[in-house]
Amino acid sequence: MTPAGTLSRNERQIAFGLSVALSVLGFGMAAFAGKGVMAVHGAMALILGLFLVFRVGGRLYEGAPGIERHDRYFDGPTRFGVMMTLVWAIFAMGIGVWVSALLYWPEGTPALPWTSFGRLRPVHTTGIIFGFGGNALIATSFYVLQRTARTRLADAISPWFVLIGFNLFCLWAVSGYLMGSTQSKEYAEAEWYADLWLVVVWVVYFTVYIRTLARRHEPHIYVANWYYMAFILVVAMLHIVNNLAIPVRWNGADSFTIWAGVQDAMIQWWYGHNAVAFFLTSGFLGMLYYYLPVRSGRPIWSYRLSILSFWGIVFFYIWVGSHHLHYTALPYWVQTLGMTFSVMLLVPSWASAGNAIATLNGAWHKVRDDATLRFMFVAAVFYGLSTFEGSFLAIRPVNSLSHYTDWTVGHVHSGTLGWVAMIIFGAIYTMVPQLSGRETMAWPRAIEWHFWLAVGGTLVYVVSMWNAGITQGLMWRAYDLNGALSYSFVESVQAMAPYYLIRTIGGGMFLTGAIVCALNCYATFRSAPYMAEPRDVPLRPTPAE
Amino acid sequence: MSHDTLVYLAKTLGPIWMMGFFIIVAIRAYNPKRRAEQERIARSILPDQSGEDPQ
Repeated sequence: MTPAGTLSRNERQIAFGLSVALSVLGFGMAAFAGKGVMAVHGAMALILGLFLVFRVGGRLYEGAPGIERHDRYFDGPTRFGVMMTLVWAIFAMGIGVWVSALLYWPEGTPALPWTSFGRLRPVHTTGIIFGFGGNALIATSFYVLQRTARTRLADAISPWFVLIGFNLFCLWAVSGYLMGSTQSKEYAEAEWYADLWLVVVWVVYFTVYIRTLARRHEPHIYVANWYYMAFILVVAMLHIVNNLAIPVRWNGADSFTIWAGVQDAMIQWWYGHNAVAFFLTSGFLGMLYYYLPVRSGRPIWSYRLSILSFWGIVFFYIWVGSHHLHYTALPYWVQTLGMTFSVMLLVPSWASAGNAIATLNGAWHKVRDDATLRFMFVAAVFYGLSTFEGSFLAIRPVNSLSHYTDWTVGHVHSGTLGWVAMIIFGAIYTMVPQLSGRETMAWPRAIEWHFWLAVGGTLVYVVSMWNAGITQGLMWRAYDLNGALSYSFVESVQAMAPYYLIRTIGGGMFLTGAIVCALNCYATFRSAPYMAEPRDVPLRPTPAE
Repeated sequence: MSHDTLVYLAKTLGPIWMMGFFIIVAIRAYNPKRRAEQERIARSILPDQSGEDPQ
């Protein structure tokens, strides 16, 4: 069976219509723009639309699945999302390792514009945050939503639209950067039409989430869903406000943001830090609150604490963005506000990390024996570590040492490698056997290899960047007896060489682990037919006796 | 509105809003009447302890 084979005749017709619409949209964009980045993006949408036209059209009149499909969860999109998560992981981590190697061997940069650091860096960050993280969030949210609501997704088209549309956004974004097109807003570099497209995708995502929740067979909405909904809702708000822009012309990619001066900086970091909060934390806490109890076989240590920390995180995080703008033209009190809320944020963050670790009390033998559970345990530990570090770095005098150094890079990677990626891998190793109708992954031993490569890679990376950052910070503020700077900037760059080499090795280890994971998932999916016999099913309303 | 008024409002209403919000959430989350229900919810995601027939 294929993905299209799981759709009813009517749904295939709708999917076919949407594919035609995408092709027309792509053709229209390409023809209207004529040349440049927007034309290339139009052509990409056209090719994707035509691919889907043939993919769905070829099966338009095949036999439809029986009514019994309603007796199982709709996991096709999740399966696709997991595969895209791993494709983006390998691509974007590969770019990361490549650019980190270029920092050690800058003379290795080819004489081609698209291979320059400035273009590849946002390809790495977008590929990881949106491609790897975003696909994992969407895929797991559909999985968790159905299991916690004990019902099937509200319809079969929207989840596919969300995943395919989201990946088109990611492709538009990274291909645009390679061609030199950027909005110059960190983590929001994609151009105006890609931003509008993402709004459409996101509205459909939120709608299908709410519609499915409305059909739930559980009276209560399990806390993981609260975190996923905060992720969807707040990311929509951040994305729209930060990306408000006026295109230079309707048939070109260039645009100007409507924000000016220090307001632009404030809006950008209100967005930027809440991308960390609601894209890279909230949804992943949803993952943690579902997969950790399920894998360990123990309920969350304190459900009430999870509610308290949810509101704490949502309430405090939204204020902290200005800590990115210490010692700038931003009013002093706004900087202080960001700093104060960042410090207070430690309380709900540690409440979540502690809640996760306390859940494992009594299950430590499982943590010892099960590498999948160990991924989640390490994720909780790194979540606690990196949130402590974040609060610490937000304090103004600490920031005066750390800002603009590689300490920030180390902090971000302790969060993304140690927390976000670890919980994703834990979720994938829990979910993929389930989706394949199996007890275990195809290669259980490979999970152990992946675990140690990931933990080793993260530690090597983070420790080298801590050393690099603190060394840089101290060199930049060292004065001699005459009050002159002790070191030139170039000397501080030269001092980084060993750390940059070690960091590349750490990143390479982490990438190797991700490749092992992708191969393991491929082997597991291959070992079972598409839509294997399900191991869990939704609740079905039964007639009263 | 003058700067002083704005500062006064921020310093009075701000903490009241924040602490009020915290107290409401804490009372709702830690109300002993909800304990049994919260226990049930926490276990509801575990396959063999849901307390309900899966079909």
